[in-house]
Amino acid sequence: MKKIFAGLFLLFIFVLKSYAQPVGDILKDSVQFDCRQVEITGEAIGGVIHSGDGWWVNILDHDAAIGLFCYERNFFDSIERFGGYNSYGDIVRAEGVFYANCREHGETDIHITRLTVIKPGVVRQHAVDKKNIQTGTVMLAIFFIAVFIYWKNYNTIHAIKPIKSYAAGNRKAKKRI
Amino acid sequence: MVISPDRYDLSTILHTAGRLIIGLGMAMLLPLCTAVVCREINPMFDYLISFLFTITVGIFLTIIFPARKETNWIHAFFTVSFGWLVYMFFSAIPLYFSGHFHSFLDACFEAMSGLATTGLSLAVDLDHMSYAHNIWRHFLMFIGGQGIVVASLAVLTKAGGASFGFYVGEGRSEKIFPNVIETTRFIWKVSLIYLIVGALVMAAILNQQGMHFVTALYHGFCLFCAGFDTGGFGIHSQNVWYYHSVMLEIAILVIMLLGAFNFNLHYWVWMKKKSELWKNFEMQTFLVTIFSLTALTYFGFKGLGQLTIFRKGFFQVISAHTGTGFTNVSISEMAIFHPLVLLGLIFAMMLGGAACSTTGGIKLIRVGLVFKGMWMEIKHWVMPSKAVYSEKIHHLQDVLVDKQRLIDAYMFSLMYILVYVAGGVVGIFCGYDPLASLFESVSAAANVGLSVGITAVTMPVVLKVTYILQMWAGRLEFLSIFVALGFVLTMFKK
Repeated sequence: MKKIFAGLFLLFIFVLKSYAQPVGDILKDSVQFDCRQVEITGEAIGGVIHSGDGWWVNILDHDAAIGLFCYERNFFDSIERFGGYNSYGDIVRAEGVFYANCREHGETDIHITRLTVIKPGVVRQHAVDKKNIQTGTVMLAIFFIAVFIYWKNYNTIHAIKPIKSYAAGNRKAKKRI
Repeated sequence: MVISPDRYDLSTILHTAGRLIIGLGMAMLLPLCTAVVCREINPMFDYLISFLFTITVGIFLTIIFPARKETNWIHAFFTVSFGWLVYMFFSAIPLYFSGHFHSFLDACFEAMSGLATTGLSLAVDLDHMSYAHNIWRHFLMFIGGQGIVVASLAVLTKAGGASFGFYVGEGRSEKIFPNVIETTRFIWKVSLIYLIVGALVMAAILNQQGMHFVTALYHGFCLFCAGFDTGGFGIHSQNVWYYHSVMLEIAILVIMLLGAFNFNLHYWVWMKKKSELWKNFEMQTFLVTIFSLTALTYFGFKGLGQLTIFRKGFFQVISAHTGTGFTNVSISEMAIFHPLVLLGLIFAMMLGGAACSTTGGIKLIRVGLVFKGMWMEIKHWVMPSKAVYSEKIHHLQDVLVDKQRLIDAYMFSLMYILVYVAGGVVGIFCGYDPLASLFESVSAAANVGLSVGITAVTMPVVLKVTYILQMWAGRLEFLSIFVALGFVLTMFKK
């Protein structure tokens, strides 16, 4: 029985260790997580950014995103695809130290010690909606009709001379009505 | 005597609205071209359909409702106030088609936020948004900030003597040249020069960071539009925090400050006297307020490193004070800022930038006059009862502080405060924390765009509508809205 409990305990520790904290929770409880080792998963977005003395990649986890920092570019070499309009980026798991107020960079960041791609990104398929083509064609037809009517009535529209308004103008306008 | 409008007035207003709608439709050509160049097929259809629909409606309005009367001030105020709502509706169409908004109301919220240069966003999955849609969001800020109604009229129609009405109606009170159209053209010229220089500088910084030059140029353009027009939208959900660059943030700080300065001051500094920059009453007020508010937030960030205080404190204060709303911290983090920092940011947002700029809020000249008025009153108590004295301020020239000027300053300040509080009360009724509600309400009404997390797709519809109305009223500075409402009421009185 003791062995089963010990096994379950070890399993629990393993699960706990491999469980990645949501980025949103880390940012919400930033004081609690400050200067602690964290593990996060998320989509790599945008691209690799070189700033200051190191390299950055932003990770999007649901609605929350955070910057991962490291001194060497090769940490991010395993990321092949970044999220954007045309693609969903690689899903990565990153381990590192979270800093609520990083003294080195003056911002909230994670200095990573390990990064692995757990799911490669994919190209987004943007199928053209047939309804869009139909609506576009109908709108184009209506647009040309409107332009034609405007062109036909151009002289009539521009022949109307605006009368002076307020106060004398108002009286004149009422007389005309 | 209350002048009652007739059907000729309505016809004239709808005719002008038609022309304005055509102007907006033409603006959609930029994202349409972007979509074509970037080969974004679905966004291309979004903008093609929206462009055709908008132009068609505009043409039909001009045909059906000819201009029966010469445009006057009442027409101008009515057209501006309701024209902005119409603009919001048409601008929201392509955004709604993008699929990044849960409802048409959310798209309208985004459009109004863009046009009013606020920067609060309800877009979902922003990091996967197309180039074309992002260009449109940011371009809305540019055209909204420069004064879309005046700009459209300058190009499309001869508004004559009423053009000043359109100008004032859009929340501007000072002319640079005697002619409003000339003033508008100058504002557009200055903005375009800054746009080219600013976008190139930021593109160069981003290019140095390893970004491809074309992508960097796109980011630079969007950052400039959102920064100079004190909007604050971002291409990514992290806003400015995405770039992790102190250098870029310094460039953004400069652009935000340039956008918050009076266009008249730009003209004087470039063309006349450089010393005006230090003598100007608005600038002096700005220095005092920025110093006080930075000191307040400093106590909130005490103990953290200098770089953190600069990036998290000073950057946020300038962003709030200039009404931009750019941020380099997460929303969750801003929500747990020290109350002193939140208070400092609320005050900064309330005050806003200079008159005749793209910022919202009470405006520096009014804030300065309010304090000047208080000082004058104290002096009045201290001095002998029969003593006659006068106070002057230096705003481009020496101006006597008379009673009317003070009444105007107090009246506008009071109206803004009432709108701030009203939005805060609605937020509290919706179940949000009082300080957070006030923060978000001030952010919306002062056209700032900083958020502590209330602005989200999940927020109640009543709050979305409240913030839309606050952004609208705050941008137009109430006057044209009150005149337009009076115009509507007189129609029912008939």
